[in-house]
Amino acid sequence: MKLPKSKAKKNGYVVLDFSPTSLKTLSFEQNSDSKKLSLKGFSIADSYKDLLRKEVVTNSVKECISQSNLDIDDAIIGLSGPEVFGFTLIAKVKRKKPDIQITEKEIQENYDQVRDACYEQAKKKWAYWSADDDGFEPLDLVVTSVQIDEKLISEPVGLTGEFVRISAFCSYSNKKYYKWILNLISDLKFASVTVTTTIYSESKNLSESSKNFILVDLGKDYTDVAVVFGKNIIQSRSFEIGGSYFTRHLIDKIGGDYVAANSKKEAYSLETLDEASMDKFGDFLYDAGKVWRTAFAAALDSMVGIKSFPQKIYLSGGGSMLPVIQEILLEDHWRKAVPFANDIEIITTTGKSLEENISDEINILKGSRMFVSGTLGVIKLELDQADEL
Amino acid sequence: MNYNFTADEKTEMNDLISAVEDAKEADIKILFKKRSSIYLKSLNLRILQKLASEKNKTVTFDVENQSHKDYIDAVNGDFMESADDAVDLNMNTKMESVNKTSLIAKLFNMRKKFDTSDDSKSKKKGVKILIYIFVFLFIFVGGVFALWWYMPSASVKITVDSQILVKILDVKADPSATEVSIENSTIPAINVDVTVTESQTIPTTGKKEVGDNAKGKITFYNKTNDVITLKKGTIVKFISTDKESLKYETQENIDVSAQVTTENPPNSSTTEYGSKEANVKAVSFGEKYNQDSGEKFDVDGYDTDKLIAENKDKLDGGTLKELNVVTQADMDGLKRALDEFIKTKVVEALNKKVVSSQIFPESSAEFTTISGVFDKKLDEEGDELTLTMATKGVGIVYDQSILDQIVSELIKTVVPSEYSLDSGKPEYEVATTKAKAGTGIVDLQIKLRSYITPNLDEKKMISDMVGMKLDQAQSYLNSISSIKGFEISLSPQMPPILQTMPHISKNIEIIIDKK
Repeated sequence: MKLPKSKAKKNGYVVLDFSPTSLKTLSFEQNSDSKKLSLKGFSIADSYKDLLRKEVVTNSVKECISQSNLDIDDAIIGLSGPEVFGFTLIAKVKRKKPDIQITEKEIQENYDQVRDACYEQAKKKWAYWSADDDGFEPLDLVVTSVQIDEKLISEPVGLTGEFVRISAFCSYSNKKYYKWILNLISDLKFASVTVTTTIYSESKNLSESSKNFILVDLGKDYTDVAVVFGKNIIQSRSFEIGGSYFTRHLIDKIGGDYVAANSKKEAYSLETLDEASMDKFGDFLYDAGKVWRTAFAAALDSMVGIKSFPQKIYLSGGGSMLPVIQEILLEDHWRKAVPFANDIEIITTTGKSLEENISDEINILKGSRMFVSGTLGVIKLELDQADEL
Repeated sequence: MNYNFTADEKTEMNDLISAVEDAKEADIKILFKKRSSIYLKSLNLRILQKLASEKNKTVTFDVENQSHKDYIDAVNGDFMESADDAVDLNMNTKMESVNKTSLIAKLFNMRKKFDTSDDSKSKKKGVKILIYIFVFLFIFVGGVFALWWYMPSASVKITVDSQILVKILDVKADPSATEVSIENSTIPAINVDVTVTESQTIPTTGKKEVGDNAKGKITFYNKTNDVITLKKGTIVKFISTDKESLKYETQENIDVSAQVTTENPPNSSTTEYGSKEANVKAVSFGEKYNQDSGEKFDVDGYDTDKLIAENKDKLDGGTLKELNVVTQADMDGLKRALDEFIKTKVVEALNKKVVSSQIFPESSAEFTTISGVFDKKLDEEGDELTLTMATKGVGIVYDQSILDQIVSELIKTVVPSEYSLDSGKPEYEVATTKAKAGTGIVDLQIKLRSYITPNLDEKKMISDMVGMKLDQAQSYLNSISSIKGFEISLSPQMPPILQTMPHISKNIEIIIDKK
């Protein structure tokens, strides 16, 4: 099973990194050898706690495309936020005739069963997580590993064995949200190459260097958390506290409007405030950080079945640039309630891991803010590679 | 119940966090209103519970939406069934068969038990009594059963949320149409015309200099031994102290005789320059060209050591006057301004021709300039310029009641099949109007805003619910996504074990409450 994909026509495409309240757009040119992408344009559109308006999305996408000067028809769409969830399902099959070679038809039947089982599990999980009556739509369904009699194999067809164990990552989106996005894409006259989760593209990229880790994407209004074991996303969660919570907390403390408070927060992150202000804002942001950490712990706590969490934590998203996040995560006492095997190690994502695949012509992938959107761009290469196979 | 905090659709996570952190009570109760969405994700509520717990408080939640009661109770009770992330694909069918087997086994055992208990050792009399008892019981149970079957009635009050339907409809107001056409979305309209004449005056902005040239006589002095001939129009220049060169030209051809030297023996001689007087005239207007007598002038083309001029008398008569004149910009600007102004007057006049039940979309007005006359020509002297214009305006007018009529019909075509339109007049506004140039037709963009409610197949629902247990009926109603809330009232009240929906469909009444 692969990411669902429709045929691309031109050598340029856009990446639309959606959360319900923000959109980051990147435009890429794919070189003729298809091995490396050139990043040509970007734009960001935000709304505070309101669903993005259609015209805001349209203008932002147009701005990005006009920067790149590319003729673009195709879009890769990445979704994040609490309207999206994903998990890995491990399915076991006992074969009736272990001595007979596995055929294409048999493994396809198994995959179909996995897809149905994923959907059934998703229904249960959705009922567990959400009272939303809208239902959900499937996004990714990717077989991440296949084992035959506990031996990891790359291609099961032609092999024999008694037990087949299939791991599949599947993700789903709130139906209404999904339709809203697809309508937007249709209005923009794009062909959707694939709709995936940002947490998938991000973990896929980070899995190149780590097997087990927690991925924390601290965005503007939401934080997405995924636990990855053996390069597979085991569970993911999203909660409604992001960078804007810190800004709101500052407004409560010092008054003023959102823009002013946000600029203070960013100045604090860049350490450009005077010493007294650094202390004052540091204290306020530390208090907000403690609330965020409680929410993070609650998210981990809700991932039933994980007995010990990976020690490595990757931080991404604009919110992760706040130094206070690392500070509060490195404190000891909160971890007593969360089972970590060892002392945690925190790594802030950078665009470095994207350099192999992306030539950043506009120099925006350096920090962690645009990392997620960058990983969505690389998904195109994965799709092309899958096509070739 | 008293709540510490009530959350509605505007409440955000920040507000709830503050409510939990700031609450003075140890037991915090939060109510979520129907339109609130923040509680729909259980993780948000878990976070609040964890935050409260860190402050040695507890927080419990309640919801207005009755269909989410179980969900919220599960969050409050900290009990939720979680799905496994590992499944056995062989198990699905197997489990089913195991369950079936065990069910059959159970039935079999029960049957066996029943058989063994039917051991007939009693006497005939006892059997008779037993038969009577059975008959009595049969009649009694039958009667009770009949009552239970036929008597109960149920009233199911269902709440459905009305939704706002916002649509854009395109309607054409066409003067050539004679009747409303739903098919073509066209309504009849009429043409109304007026002619308005208006004048406007502006100050002119152009400047023009007029005046007289200074003139007089000057005398030329020839310092050479040859006659110098000066043609009419020869320029002589006066060098003023501020170094401004003022030019004059001769008015006639003249010959200036050569100088004459007279020898005065033994050792001296005297020289007398040749001279000639001529009329000159300043090359331009202005008083500055007037000169007092005795001024010196250079002659164009000659060094002053060869030829020089001087006025014995005054040069005078030079004057200068600045006049206002009409420029092209004045004419263009006035035309533009009056054109705009007259259009507003035409629209005003058209509006006055419309009666109260009629609508005149101003953008439908088309203007034709019939005449435009300036009172002065280009470059003509004058302090003011006046333009008088006559413009004809034609507007398209339609009847409000006819528009109401077509909107009421067209709305039926845009309501999704699974919804019905709420009764009452649809709300709409004419968002934009656009006249199609040259066609005389006006496109009206109607922004429609009305309420629709999901369709419910009441007959099917009643037939589905007949005989259902109460919890089954609740689950059934919960499963219908368009139902936002419901209330089942059974009559008469029965012991819980007998509480079912009526077995007769006509005893079930459905009342739909649209909100």
